[in-house]
Amino acid sequence: MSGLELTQLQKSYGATQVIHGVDLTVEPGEFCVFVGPSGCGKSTLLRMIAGLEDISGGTLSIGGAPMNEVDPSKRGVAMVFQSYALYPHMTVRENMGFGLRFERVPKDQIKRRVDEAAEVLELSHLLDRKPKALSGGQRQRVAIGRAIVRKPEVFLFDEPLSNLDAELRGTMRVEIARLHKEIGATIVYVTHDQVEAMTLADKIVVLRAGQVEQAGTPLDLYDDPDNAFIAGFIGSPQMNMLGATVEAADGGRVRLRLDGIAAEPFEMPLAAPPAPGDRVTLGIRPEHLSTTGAVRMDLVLEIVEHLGSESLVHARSGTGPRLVMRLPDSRGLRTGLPVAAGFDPARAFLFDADGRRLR
Amino acid sequence: MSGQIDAPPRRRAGRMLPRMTALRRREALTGYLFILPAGIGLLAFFVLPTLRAAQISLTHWNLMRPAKWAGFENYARLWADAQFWDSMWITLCYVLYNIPVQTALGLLIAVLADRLAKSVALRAVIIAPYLISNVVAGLVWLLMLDPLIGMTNSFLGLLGLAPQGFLSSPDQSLISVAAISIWRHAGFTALLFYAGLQAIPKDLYEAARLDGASEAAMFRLITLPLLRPVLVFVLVTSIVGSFQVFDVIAVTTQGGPAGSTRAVLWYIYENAFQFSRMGYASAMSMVLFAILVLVTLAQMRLLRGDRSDLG
Repeated sequence: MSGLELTQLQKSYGATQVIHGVDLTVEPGEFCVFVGPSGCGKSTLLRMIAGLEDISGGTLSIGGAPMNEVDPSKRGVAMVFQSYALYPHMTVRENMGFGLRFERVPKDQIKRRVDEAAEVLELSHLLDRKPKALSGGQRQRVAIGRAIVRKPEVFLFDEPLSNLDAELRGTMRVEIARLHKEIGATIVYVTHDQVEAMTLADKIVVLRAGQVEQAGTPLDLYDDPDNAFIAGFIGSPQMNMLGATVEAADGGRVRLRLDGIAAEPFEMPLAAPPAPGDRVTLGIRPEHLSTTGAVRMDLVLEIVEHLGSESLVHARSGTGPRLVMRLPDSRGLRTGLPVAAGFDPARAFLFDADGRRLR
Repeated sequence: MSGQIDAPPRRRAGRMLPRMTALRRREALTGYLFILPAGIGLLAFFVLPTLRAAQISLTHWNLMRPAKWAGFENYARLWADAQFWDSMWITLCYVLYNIPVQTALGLLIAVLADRLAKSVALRAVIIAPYLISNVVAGLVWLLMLDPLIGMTNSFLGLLGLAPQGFLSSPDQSLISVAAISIWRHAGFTALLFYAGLQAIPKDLYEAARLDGASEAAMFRLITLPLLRPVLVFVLVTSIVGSFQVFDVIAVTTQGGPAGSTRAVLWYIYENAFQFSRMGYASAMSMVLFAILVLVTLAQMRLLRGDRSDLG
């Protein structure tokens, strides 16, 4: 297995630059997920690695060898497309063996490798069918099988589960995780679904507007986001973002008053506190809001979403911002009732006016 | 819900179609209304004339006197008419000169336009010859291919090549007529192929590139198989059209020189309007019609033109 190294990788279409100098290392065998909002450049970056898009600047190395000018088929990568891109006039067997024909692999070996991959993916009984006669999940597995038989150094997945229904997506997610464990391949995976990103990735790379916002393990990003964008993007439901004003700051502590919410001012530890009077943003995850907690807020319940094992409670204070709480048991709660919510300041995040994390 | 509960009683299933709901009936009626104008046109200009021609083919009729019943005499005469079969042979040669080149050229232009330049202006230029009528195209080429004053021979002279007879040479006339047809139709064929190419998803080519396929392999293994329904349509329409070549011959060679371009439609025309043998001409038309139906069915069957792998 080979790793990947992206050094100041850039992409421009004419005068418009869409990828702005991406630096990234993907270790051999690592499962790396690119995630970000629509148009952030994650698919473009993947296609640059595949060789389907030219690289305008910087260097791409796979297994230590520069790949900028290397033909896509010689990069040692295989790609699974969002649309599957199966050849509709060929059977599953022909689809899976297509790439090996051009590597001049003998026919009996092609057959053996296709049979092996089909067995791993439970496709053996479908080998003589055409893609039209397969379900979405089966097509997806054929697309993955086509990648596997080529024994690539790096697997590239471009939103592979986005055309499947929720149940099948869950199943395929587990399949892909199992596959990664079994063949230990290096995988670069693009998705806009953060559940996929959180559950599959060894490393998540969050992109915004063609730049890497933060890269790290899923829990690093969740527990220690670098900025308000990452904090809002990772985690579902989103982190609650509340406006606050600095009342006083000294000796590694800051005293804050929430804007638009009836709550007592409270203190937070901060190594480099901002100046009194500064506006900041306080981020609190829904699960860190509870009916207890040191800082109390008087809210009115607006909507309860019962998920069975837990509930998402949407509440607000007067005309202030709406907050989401994740509560383990809230069967007695009803719309219009007052809720006493609270949080522990030590679990909250603080961001400056530009969205940068204050630590 | 269970299909068993909704299923009609068994004894009815065999002899009754599922009953249409009022909505389905209204939709069906709307559908028929939409195709009615085309249906009327088809009936008035194709079905009725064909039936009338079939009727005339069983008579002797010179347009002056009332038709006389002839039974299958015209068909028997046709069977023994060496000139009719010669004209069929000439037509077949014309089809064989015309179709492969026209189809290959159309396909080449379409693939190049699709892969290299998606320009609307280029497509307009490609289709321009098709916008000229056959008669005008024939007249223009009649002048350009004139052995004495035509610019084609002047051009050959510049290249140091000997002047050619083209339309006035019995050896070259049929090829020249085919060349005019290719010039006029290749662009239209290209446009049909171009439209077919747009229906092939681009990510198939990307997947093939990653699989290591060359441009030639992609053309052979992806483009051609997926273009099959369009290819069949183009072949059927252009072969049927080529069997009916008439106007270019009427303008340029009028069946000559020495009968070298006497294609079957021109021979039918001669019999009908120069020798006033309407019954005989109609019999030949019916035979041509039957041959074209067979050719079309065979093509559809062999090339599975009614089935697409796309969609």
